[in-house]
Amino acid sequence: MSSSLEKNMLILRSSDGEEFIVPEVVAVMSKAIKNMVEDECASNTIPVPNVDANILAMVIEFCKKHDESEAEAASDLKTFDSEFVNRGQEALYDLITAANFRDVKELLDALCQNVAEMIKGKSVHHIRIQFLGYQLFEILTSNFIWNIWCDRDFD
Amino acid sequence: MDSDIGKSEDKISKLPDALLCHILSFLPTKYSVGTSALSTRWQYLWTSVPNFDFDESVNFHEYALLSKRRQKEVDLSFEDFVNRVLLLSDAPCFQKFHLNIGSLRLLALVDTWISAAIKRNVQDLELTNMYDINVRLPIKLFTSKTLVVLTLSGVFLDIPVSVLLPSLKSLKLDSVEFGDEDSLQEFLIGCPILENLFIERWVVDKQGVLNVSVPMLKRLMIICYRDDFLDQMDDPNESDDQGCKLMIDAPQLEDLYLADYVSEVFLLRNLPSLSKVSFFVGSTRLRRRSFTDDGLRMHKLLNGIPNVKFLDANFTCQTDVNDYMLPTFHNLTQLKFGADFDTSWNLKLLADFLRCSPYLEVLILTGSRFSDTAKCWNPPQEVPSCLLLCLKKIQIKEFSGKDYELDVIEYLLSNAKVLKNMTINCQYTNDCFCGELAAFPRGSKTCQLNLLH
Repeated sequence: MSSSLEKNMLILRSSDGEEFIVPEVVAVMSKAIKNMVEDECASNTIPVPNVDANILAMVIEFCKKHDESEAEAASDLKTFDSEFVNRGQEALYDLITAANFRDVKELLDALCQNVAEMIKGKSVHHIRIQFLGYQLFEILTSNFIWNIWCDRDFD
Repeated sequence: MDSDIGKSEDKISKLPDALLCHILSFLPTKYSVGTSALSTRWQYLWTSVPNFDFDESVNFHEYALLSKRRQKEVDLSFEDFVNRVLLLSDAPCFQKFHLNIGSLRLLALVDTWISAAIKRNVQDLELTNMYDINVRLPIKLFTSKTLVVLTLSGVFLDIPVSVLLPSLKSLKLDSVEFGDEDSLQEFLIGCPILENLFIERWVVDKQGVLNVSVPMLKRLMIICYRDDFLDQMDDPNESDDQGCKLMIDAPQLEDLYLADYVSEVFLLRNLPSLSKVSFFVGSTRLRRRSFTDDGLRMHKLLNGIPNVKFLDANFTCQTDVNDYMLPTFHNLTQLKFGADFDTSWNLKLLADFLRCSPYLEVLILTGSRFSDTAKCWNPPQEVPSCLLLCLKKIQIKEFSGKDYELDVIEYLLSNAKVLKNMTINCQYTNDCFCGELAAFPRGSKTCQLNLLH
């Protein structure tokens, strides 16, 4: 074990060079970091390439909250999650990419669930406008399976 | 939140296929397939999604109002949709397959659809049948090597000769009709690593003896209802009716939840790991002809859980357990003691619990504001040791100011020597008892009394 692990703290360095001191239990919620720690190939500072300081701070905030709260505060955690993932597309994209790349399952699921909710129950038109940026969209003329059952309503 | 709508480039669509599929896997299948109409980028993404959730019930309400002809059309389009999705799906293994149906016409297809899912090595299978005819399952289901989670509702369980579900960890049976008396036990024998079992049943399900004997079981939840109407229809000549029996034998069991107003005989044994227990057990008084000894039933239940740490005891039986000794609960630190909607505390049992729980730290009493039975609190002859040494926290819920409630509170306050905190929820009292409660002598100098209004 390296010396930094004995103190149970790790330093994470974002792609733009900012450093974050994080308790090990929080950092290892990322499976990628956990593997590095377990393989003892982590030095004092763990570089987190592809994730900038802004996004890394958000990921750490999420992991800290999930580490602190025990099972009794399950509903609080849910509220926190739904507020946490309520962000613009740009941030969602970066967060999903980071959560996937660093393998933080809880975060990835919360984010993907959120995007799924944006799709759920909406018409194709609505999803295109609200969620996908209408102008750049290539519009399909054949809605093959959509019309079969999905979009039906009872008349 | 999205102020950049329309201006931004389509970021989400730029995510790799695997992540978009992960997003789609959270959606009911009709919405994930629906995204195929968004753009060429999305057209075939859904075909790789390993999760399926076909839910016809979302429209049950509207469905019921439709004409017969329209109902048929709706059924046919649902059938067509499921068939096409299964045909087009590229997912090599199904992770989740949830099917919720409610019409007679579709029952005939359940066998085919479930078989298709089993063939693709499904891990999490859920079948909810809302129609009032129970459906049979394909025999292949009972030998699946990959099933981890199985949830069945509205199903006729006719157990084939060989059952082997080597990966099954969670089983939930809700309103299931069993083929014969031994069906459940035969099913459970075929699930060697089962950890979670949930059974919600009507007593008419032919399973007179419910025998749960599972070596690896960790969590068990049993809810038994009795159908009052059917009970009154009972054939009066059916004299050799033995009544229901519940047997539990699970050496690894940690968590037990039992709501049972049906079983006349309980047999709990071999439960050394059991630490968390909730009982909601009432008298089987609805059975007119049979005689059950409620004291014996309670005694059997409580003697089966000697190692419990957290106990939530709700017994509506008012019978004294005088003749039956409670075991000593050496590990019990938290006791929640309540009754039912309209019955009040069994005070004798409460006194016995205090006497038999030497290490109790937290006591939560839930009153019953609807009960108006007059009762009398007879404190234990000697002050129980938990009051002298351990009990730190008491909470009284639904306090309604009855005489016996005040007697119990007065007794606890004056005898609990190390009490730190007593909280009383007074929302349901008409009069203010603040002065009276605050004036009770206290055995512990550091005790705080909180009254919540």
